[in-house]
Amino acid sequence: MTLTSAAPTTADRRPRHRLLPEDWLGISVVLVLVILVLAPMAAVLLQAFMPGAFSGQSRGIGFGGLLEIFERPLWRRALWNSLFLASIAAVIGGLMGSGLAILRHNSRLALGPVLDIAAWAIIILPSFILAQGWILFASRGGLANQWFGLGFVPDLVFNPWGLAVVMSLKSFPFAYLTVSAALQWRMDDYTHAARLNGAGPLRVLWTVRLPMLLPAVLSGALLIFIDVLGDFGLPAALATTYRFPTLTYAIYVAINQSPIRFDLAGVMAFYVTAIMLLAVMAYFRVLRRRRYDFLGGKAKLAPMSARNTALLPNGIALIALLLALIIPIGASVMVSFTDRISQGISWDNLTLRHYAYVLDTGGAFLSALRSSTVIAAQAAIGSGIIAAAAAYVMTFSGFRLNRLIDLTCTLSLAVPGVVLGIGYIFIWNAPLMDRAGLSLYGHPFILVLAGIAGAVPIAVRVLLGAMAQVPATMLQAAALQGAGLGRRIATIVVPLIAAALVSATLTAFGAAMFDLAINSILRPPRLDVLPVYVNRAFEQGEFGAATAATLLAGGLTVAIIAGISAAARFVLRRLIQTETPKGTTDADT
Amino acid sequence: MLDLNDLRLFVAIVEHQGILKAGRALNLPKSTMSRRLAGLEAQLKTRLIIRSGEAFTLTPAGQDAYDLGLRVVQAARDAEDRLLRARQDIAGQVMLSATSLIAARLPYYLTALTGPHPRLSFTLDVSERDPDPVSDPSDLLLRAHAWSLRDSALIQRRICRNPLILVAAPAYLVKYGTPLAPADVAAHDLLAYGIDARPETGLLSNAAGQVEMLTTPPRLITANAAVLVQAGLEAQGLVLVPEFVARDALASGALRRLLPDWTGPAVAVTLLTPSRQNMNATLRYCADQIALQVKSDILSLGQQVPKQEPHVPELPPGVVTKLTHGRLSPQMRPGSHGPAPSSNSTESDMPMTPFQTVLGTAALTTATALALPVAAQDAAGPLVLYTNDFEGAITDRFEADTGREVDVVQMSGGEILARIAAEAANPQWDVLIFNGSYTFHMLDQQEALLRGVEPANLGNLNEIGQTYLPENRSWFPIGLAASCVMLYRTDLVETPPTAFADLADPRFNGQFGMADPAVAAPAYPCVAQFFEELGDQGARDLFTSFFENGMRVFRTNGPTGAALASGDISLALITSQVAYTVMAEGEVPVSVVWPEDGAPGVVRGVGISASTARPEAAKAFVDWLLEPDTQSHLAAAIPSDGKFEPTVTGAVRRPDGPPEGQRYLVASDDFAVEHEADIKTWFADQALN
Repeated sequence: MTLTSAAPTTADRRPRHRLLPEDWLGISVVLVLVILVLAPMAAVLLQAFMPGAFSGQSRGIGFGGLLEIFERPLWRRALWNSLFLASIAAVIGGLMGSGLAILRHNSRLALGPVLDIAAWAIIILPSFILAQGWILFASRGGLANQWFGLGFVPDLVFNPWGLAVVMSLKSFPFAYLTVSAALQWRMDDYTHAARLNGAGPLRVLWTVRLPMLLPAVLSGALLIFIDVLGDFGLPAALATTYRFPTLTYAIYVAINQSPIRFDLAGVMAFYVTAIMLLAVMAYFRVLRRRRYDFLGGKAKLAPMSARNTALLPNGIALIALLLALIIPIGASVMVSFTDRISQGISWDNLTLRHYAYVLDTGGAFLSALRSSTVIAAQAAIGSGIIAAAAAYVMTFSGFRLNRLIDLTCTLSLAVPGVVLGIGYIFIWNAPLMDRAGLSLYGHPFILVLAGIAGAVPIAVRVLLGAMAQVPATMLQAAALQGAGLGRRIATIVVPLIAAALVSATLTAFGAAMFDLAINSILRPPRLDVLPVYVNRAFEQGEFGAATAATLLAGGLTVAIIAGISAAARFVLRRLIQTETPKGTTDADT
Repeated sequence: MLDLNDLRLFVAIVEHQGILKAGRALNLPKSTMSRRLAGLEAQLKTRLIIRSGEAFTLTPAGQDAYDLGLRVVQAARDAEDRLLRARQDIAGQVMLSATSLIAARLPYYLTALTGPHPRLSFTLDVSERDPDPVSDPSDLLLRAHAWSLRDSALIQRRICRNPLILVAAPAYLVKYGTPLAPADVAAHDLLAYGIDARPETGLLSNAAGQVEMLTTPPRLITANAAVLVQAGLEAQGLVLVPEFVARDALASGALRRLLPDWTGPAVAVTLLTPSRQNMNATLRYCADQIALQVKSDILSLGQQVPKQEPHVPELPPGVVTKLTHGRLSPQMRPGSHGPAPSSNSTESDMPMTPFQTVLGTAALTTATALALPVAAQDAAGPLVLYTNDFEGAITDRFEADTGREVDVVQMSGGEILARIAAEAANPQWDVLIFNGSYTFHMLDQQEALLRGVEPANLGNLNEIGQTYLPENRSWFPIGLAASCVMLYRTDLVETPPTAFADLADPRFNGQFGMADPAVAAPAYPCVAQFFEELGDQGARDLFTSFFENGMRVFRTNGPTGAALASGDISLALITSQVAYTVMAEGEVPVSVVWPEDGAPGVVRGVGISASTARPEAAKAFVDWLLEPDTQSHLAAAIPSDGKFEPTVTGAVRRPDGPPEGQRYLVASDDFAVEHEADIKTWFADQALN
């Protein structure tokens, strides 16, 4: 019955439209990305070749700017430093993140949930807060030297290698989360087969599990590489400027010159983008050599691990937590409760006045928190949807612009928020847009759009790792049975990647919450937003108030994320568990 | 007695047709549900439910139990509803004590509040007295005052200001003649607004900054504005009243404005409320709404009037009468100001026919349009200000002083310039405050600034202001500070330097730093000054000697100060604002070296966008910044930004800023702009090594 009724309709459709439903999905994804990322980026990159194109003082076309990078010592150094920092951080952070994720899922770890929450927290906390924490801890007048007498710490941290390690401590969660997402489904068949053939646990890990995890590990390392390449706050704050200038710093300098050199910013952005593209291409070359869709009908959710207090794994996790979160945040927490930093630890020096001040100043903090939460929530939902569509199209369809989607999604990670923000002004403040009644510049919604653009790449990476494991044969089987695109997505893809989808949306939420650069350059008048509030307090030297505000807001964000992800995990588990008994009985009979 | 909880669970079981479903809905385990049901059945000694497989039926006893139980549950829900709503709804009685200044408009404000919230009611007291912290029962107090209010535990929220103006009835003027200058007033009977015979009530000033004192003692002094207007209408003399109360009478021609160039001191309207935590939702709502309406009404300059007037005939008379009489009289306390109840004026406004209203509206609109011909050129919407300083100290004060709205966009200096450059095709800003005159020079070269602006109070400029004022009047200096002085830790530096060149001395090796001139807005004028003073080669030699002595370069002045505070460096080349702020905070022992030849300076200015759509509001903003009061206010309001040398006579400096009479050396704008790219590039490339 179904066969006879379905066959004529498909026969009708194909010749009329010639485009598959997947292609329409792909086209809409591309359109959205063009509006959100490509057009603003192009506007900035164009400056490298046509200086003054959008500021009404075009000076003709030229490629001279591109070569300037090899002439000025500052820029040569910046290029080299950026490459060094990003590569080292990708290696160290990738190893650390993957190792912790495997540890978390293979041994029963009492610190596991803490590790999960810490990973989220590190991603969403603004890098200037972590930087401030490290400075408070490790500078010559900092806690390590003054309070604990560890005189070697300043020299250990404030050198290029120390900086690279700090950067990887800041970005290892990218690898941790992608690998964790990939570990959610287990194919125990392979492991069992290996064990039956006499392989020890380590050998199984090395020859069976790690190769299966390779896409996730690599995409984690790639994310770290790109994130470090595009990060401005931490290297700029940690390295006292010219000791260690990076490409993003050079962009910042170009934008701060007057008359402004958008063309130089465009050149730098071009190089950042080019390096990033090379990295992505290398990633694809590695992945294309093999297939990674190993999930089958017998895949199971990773079992909920019971509490265990085994010393070694917990010790490793604790050290990781200590280095990545407890030291920098602990320093910030101390500052937020300390009346005067210089007076050291003592009971009289403890105070709650910074918190009282933050909660009391005419509601500015609360209204900033509220508007930032609303904007971040909208941006998170938007980027969750777009990222899911993009990841689906890239993984399961032969859409011709797949490569473009992938590159675009990664592009906006690599480009500093200031540059993207300027691109947004070029596009959305253009007289053309004004006449079309689309002048979103000066409207809070532009922050949502920019937030989506900033968060989509992270969300896509998280989802790609998970989708790579869903075999296309499952979808093909469903399609043969007459299931349409919507039905295939709803009944096969979404249930299998639900956990990753929730992770992706929540990561986007955290990232959008604290995006300082975009928020400060695109902020409409009279709208209080959180990062600007915090940064203003920092600039005015009110470290106590600034850290108090950040900790309150960060705590709230982590609470929201942890709450939603716990709820989602619970719901998913229930949904899957109530259905599996039926499924297994069917299979057995 | 029955356990009421059991009854509740039973009702839930019946409503959900099953124990399992009810358990899910109530989030209780199935075992609890069935145990409680069994308990209920045991207590009632009868079966309530018959369960057989899928079927679910109630026994007759069960039906009775359900009916009775439902009533109990319903009663509990009602109780919850009522108790909760009381805290969240906008409802209840609010005791409002209002000034007579706005008495005539109160019915509209209150109807706007009571209309959407039927269970909200008011008791109203019209009074001018200072609030008595002990005995005053009012929740919200609205006061108009040209004097300062007595301190109390209440929060004072300044809503707006309204100038005193001199008016008189045409009949009076025909009889006694029209005064043409402030001195002429002496020959007339004066009725003035105030609480006692203070001399400052009689101070008149004009736009040119001249001040005249009215020497005649007033024949009547009252803070009841309605009485004054009535007295004026009855031709009893010249009346000095807040502009707001006389607005209607002026528009209808019943009164005439005298000495239109001259205004008396401004009357501030202040809302006194308990602190925000101590107000419930209703009070907060009422306070915000009343403040908003009073502000828009007083500041609207007639724009709001046409919108509001047509509502008059629609007002249900009951509301007005009830609020002004029925509830008012018991609350009137002895000692209220004013011989006549101010509600009189409300009454006299009421019996207008719709035709009169329309006529009055038209007259009012015309009158305001004539009075403010220039404001009509401005595009709608608030003035947009881009600034890197003084955020939070501008909005309220400017709006209260001038009655115009302003949107403040605060960013770091670099971000502001980036935003302005990115917007070049379609500028969004009207005025710019920036710390660095060279930036204005550069913007002016790009023809981005409005030239030839002539503020009326340009004469206020003092010597500093005159020195830096550009000839083409494209921007105006509003403050001067040092872009770098030497700030050192007295506990770490034994022999402080006396001049900048001393920093090349080995005793400072690796121990001093400064902000990056390519990033920090005030650091460039510092470096530029050295280049102009010492010449290109001389300055390069000086800075090379600094770099060779291990000078550290930080991103901005903030981190430089932080590094000094943490002991990372022991001496910093830093702006005087940061230097004296660190010193005033006293967290670490520091001292400032201000070289005898003078320290490099940086001039803060204000300029108007060449393509502004609101030129009049922008000019009013510049005027406002050139007032001594404004500069004193800015200095006092923001501790760090406020440490500057004012550019107008009579402005008050901060006591914790640099001592008076220091020398400043400011690089000429021409030089700074011309060599900017060269100097910054050289500095950046040198600092690498």
